[in-house]
Amino acid sequence: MNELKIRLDELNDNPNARLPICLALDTSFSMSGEKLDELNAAVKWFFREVRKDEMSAMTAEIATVSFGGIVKQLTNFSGISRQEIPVLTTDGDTPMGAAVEFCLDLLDQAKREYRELGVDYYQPWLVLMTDGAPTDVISSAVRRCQEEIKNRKLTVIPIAIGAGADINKLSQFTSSDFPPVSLNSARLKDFFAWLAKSVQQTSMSNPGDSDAHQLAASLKRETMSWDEAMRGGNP
Amino acid sequence: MKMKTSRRLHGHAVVLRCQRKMRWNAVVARAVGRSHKALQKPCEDAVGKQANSRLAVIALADGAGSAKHASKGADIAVAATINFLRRHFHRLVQGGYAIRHVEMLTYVRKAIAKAAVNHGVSIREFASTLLFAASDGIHLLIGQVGDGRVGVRSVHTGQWISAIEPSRGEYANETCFITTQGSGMRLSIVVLPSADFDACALMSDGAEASLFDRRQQSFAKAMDTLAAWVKRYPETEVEQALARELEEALTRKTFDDVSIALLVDAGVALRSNVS
Repeated sequence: MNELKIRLDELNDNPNARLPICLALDTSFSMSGEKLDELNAAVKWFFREVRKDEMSAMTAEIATVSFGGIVKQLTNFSGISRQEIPVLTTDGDTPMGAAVEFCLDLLDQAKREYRELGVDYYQPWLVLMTDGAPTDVISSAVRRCQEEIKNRKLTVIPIAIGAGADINKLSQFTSSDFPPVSLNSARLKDFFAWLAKSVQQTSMSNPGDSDAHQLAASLKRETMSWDEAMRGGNP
Repeated sequence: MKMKTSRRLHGHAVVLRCQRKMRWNAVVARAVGRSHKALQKPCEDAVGKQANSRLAVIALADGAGSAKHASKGADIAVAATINFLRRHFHRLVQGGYAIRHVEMLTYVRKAIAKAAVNHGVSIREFASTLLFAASDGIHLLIGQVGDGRVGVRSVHTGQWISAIEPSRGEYANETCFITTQGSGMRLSIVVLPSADFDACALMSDGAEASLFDRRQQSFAKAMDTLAAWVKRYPETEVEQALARELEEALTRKTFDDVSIALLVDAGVALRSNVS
């Protein structure tokens, strides 16, 4: 029956559910040199990987914030296909507290806009990466993070780059379910590969899937496989 | 519309009460979404119907993505719901919380639990949402636990409206399932007069992406098109066309599985009661 066809203009176009991810990246002076080169390469690779997968590209919205001397927003939440890939440069000390508060404000605003536009969204992620210790007051940022995590409003993914990172301070921003993960700069691309895969899995997820526990468990398994690869002599 | 006439039969006054009683056509269809196709997984939405001159029943379930046996769980939820509605419709219509929320949920959960025991897994591995509608032509009973949407079309305005507000969390991948603890509190059931509505549609959240505007909170024009098909064409042909359109058109708008079940007024039948 040829008459039994639905015209596409009779259907609605609801926007896809969005996954807002804020990358908060330490660009203080101590990140200069090889660490910064690795981080820039890894971020570039991450944006390209997410773009390559259709579902991920329609789901992920990534804001990039650097903190080195000052807090700088490099990209805002929007369709990743349209975004310029951020390029990081180093400067100054480590205003981590101010950066985290800035990111939390960005995520709150994104969720408000989604609600106003009738756009569904997944629980936001804050990826916090540092190679040192904060040089500003972090208590307010820590309190806000803990409140958000307790109310299931946020997942913080804390990454310590290199041996000089202050794990104790970093762990204050997150929960015991998701402790800081230590990586050397050579592993940054592997981390962003895992992050891209997690974006893909979340974009395909259905009710009942995927929460902070599963994300943390997944990253733990991944880092263990890197350690095993190292012991096996693979880089 | 009620009419009363009387005549004498063997010397006794006989009163005929004639009530407008609706007859329903029922169609169901589903299609696997792009996400499951890419993973070579089966459709995890299930749909079912059973209709005769006395009662028309439709049911739809969307298996939980995290559940190992989501597809099977959805199938069982639909079959058990239809069985229960067939046997207990009139008690449900007359009854309150105990029959509706407790007995009905218990029946459906028992069916799921039996399958879980046979597979040696937790009942959670068979989790699904559940939407259903049933009508005897006088009453239209509608229920939902979880996401997806139930729409009814008013005979007075011709407009589609949501019969029940879906149970959803803040996030896109959060909802309540029939197997969730406390789902009795999240099961919504309403009983409406059939005469006020000439169509009822159950849709999974995948189908909702194309058939409901979340910002405007209104149904798509396609709903009237589909209702017209059901009214005019044989059910088998409509179901074939619907399955094709779900696959070709609706799965373009979402990565999720899509499914829909429709009851549409087939025309008025007069029912007489002699007293």
